[in-house]
Amino acid sequence: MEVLRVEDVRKSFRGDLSLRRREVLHGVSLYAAAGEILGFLGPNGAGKTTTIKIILGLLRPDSGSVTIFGNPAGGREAARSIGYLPETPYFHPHLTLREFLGFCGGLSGLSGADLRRRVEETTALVGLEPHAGRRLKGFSKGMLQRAGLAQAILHGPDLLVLDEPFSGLDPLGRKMVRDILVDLRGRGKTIFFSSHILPDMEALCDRTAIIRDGVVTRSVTLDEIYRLGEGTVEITARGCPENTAHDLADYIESIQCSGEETFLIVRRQEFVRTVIQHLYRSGSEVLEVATQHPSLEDVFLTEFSQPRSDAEKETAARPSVGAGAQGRSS
Amino acid sequence: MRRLVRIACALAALAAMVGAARMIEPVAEAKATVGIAYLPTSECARMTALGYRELASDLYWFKAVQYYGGYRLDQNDIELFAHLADLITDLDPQFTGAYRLSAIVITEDLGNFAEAKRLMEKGLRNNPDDYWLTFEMGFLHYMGGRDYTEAEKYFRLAAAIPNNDGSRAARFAAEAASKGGNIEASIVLWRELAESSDSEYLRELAERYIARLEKQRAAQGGGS
Amino acid sequence: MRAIAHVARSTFRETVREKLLWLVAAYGIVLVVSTWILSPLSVGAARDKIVVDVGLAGISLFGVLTAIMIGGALVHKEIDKKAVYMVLTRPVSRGEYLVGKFAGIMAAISSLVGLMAVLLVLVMLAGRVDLTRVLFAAVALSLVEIAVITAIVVLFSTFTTPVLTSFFTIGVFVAGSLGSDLRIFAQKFGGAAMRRVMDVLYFMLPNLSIFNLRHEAVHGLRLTGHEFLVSLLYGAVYAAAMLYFAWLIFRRREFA
Repeated sequence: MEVLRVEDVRKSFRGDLSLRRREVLHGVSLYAAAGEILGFLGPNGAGKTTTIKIILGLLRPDSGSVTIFGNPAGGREAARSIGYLPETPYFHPHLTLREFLGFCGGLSGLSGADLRRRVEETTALVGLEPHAGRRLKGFSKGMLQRAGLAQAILHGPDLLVLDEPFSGLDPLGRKMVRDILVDLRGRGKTIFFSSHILPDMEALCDRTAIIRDGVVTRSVTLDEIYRLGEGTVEITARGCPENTAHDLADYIESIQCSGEETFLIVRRQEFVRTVIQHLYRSGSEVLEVATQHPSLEDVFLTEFSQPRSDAEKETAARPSVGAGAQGRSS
Repeated sequence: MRRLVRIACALAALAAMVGAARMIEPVAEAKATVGIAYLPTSECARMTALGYRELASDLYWFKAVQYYGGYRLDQNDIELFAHLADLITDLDPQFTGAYRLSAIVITEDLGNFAEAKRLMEKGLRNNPDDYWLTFEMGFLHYMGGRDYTEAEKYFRLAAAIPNNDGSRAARFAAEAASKGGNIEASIVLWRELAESSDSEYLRELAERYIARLEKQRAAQGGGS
Repeated sequence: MRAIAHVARSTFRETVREKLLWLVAAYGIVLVVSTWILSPLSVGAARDKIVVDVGLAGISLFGVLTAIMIGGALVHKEIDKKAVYMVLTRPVSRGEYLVGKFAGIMAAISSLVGLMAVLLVLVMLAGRVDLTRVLFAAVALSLVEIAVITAIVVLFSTFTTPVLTSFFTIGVFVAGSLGSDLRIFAQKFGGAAMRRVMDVLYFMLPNLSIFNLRHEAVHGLRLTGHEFLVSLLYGAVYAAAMLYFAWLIFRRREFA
């Protein structure tokens, strides 16, 4: 079932002083299925935040449509199913955390004992229990980020929209957020988040949509990333003779010496055995053989090192792009 | 050490403030007294006061009291008192206290009964059932205007106003009817007004005018 | 409906935490000073008058100024700092948000006015000044006046900065307090165009003089129930209209 569908959304803004409108989104399309974590990746200014705000109803698209569980974005029904964490959250400084969560929960339709219970549970979940009675004014950036996550998940929404959920958090905090998100996915919730921290995204996302210059140009799953290029293999050896680089030039991409150890990157899988045999014959000791897959970062950097081809632009204009391979990666 | 320096600087700043204030004192005082000469018109005052006319009338009344006080201390004259009284009562037409004390001052100290009469007539127009205004109107006609017919009329009107000391008003009416006009009678009436009045300041004024009349009587050789 | 209550309660808390109680303390001091120190200076002519004049003017001015200061800052600050995202991404309509904000601010200021009124009554009792029904009616209509001003502040703050909101609202307050004076002035002295403009302004601007019962309260004049209700109704209609226009603007507002 489709939880979120963004269909060919265009949005332009009028600059402060100019009368001309500048188009920021040129037909963004993407979708998220139930129980999926969809990542949203793109350089600054690509239109991530604009897209997110349109999903939330804070902005209206010039054309195109956005539906959440079939309901139009910005409406009351859609709002009921969403939990949102903005980038650099700012909350009413004079309220205590408990009051603030009570306020948010109440607005989302919770009340009475149920509301109180959820506030306590969520506060504990994000590790802010000792600060529940403190005014938000005194919270650090990391604490505010946790408080923001708390208000987003408090009412148990089926779709979470998170803008940079990991920003401002220390490694423990990031782990906590990762755990929470994985748990939520396990319960069938859908999560759509944007981030700059690629390793987190790679670890969490079932799919990642990449937005560039106001269009979603690709949507990749981890499987697809791995299949993008054959993996290279990195071999760690000790005691390599000096002519090793010359002898293996046809088979290896690069060779690096660090003290006693030598790191060789083998070009292709099928060359691995040849290289290892050569190393043994030359008297070296093979310490480790590791396969390297292309990472999301590689995809990202590759994507943005090339100019958008005309073909790509044409593909981008068609609504079906963004609806990449379905299903979860293992 | 640095702390002491800071405290010293703070004290120096305060001293400078006080010194500066002292320095402008003569200029400021001149402006304050000139202020009286530049009273706004009633229209202007009404508009500037927005919805707070009654409060504005109180503030102008304080000014009037100050102004009169200055006169008693021989610091200034009270030529503008009538104007000030007009302004105050235009801002709050039901400010009966202002009419009463002002009219007396205008009659006795400014010697301008016509002006006082005009002021009191305005007061009576706006407060037709006020006993003390009516009574004082009669009183002023007797003392300042020497118009005993009018005085009697107002005293009788006052006597007719319910819930008030009609007997005193009746007595004054009788005195006016007898076309008194001698100093003795005046002194008696002033004393009675002072005793019966609800305004203690009016008593003070009465003492003053009685003293003046007694001096007059002495000058005339103590006769009627 | 519940959403309005939530927004109102949160706004109330935030408003009150601006340490507005100090204003009540300041008011109390002013009252005491004017009763026991200034009053004698009136040489008896204005003894009772001063307390009531200062008391009622103080309530009105403090209330209106608070509405202008608080209202402008609160709504705009929330929008500026994105705290409003927390609310608007939830099942709360823009209209509910605005009404809730208005209700919260009014609840806070009403509490202040209530406290000030209690202080005034205490000072009057201590000074043996008569309490009248009109006095309470004057306080009530002051509160209606404050509600009208608050609604205007909410309207301005949906589309302009806090500073401009304050300036515009003060301007409206001054013009509204002059009541019919400006219109009469224009009718006497202005050209046809001027008169038209003044007429339009007169109907657009609130006629705040109708909420002013201070004169009646000070001099114990009579007030009919009908007059009171009509003034109340006028205030309610005007405030509602302002909030409606605010909603019209706010619902189209985008948060880039």
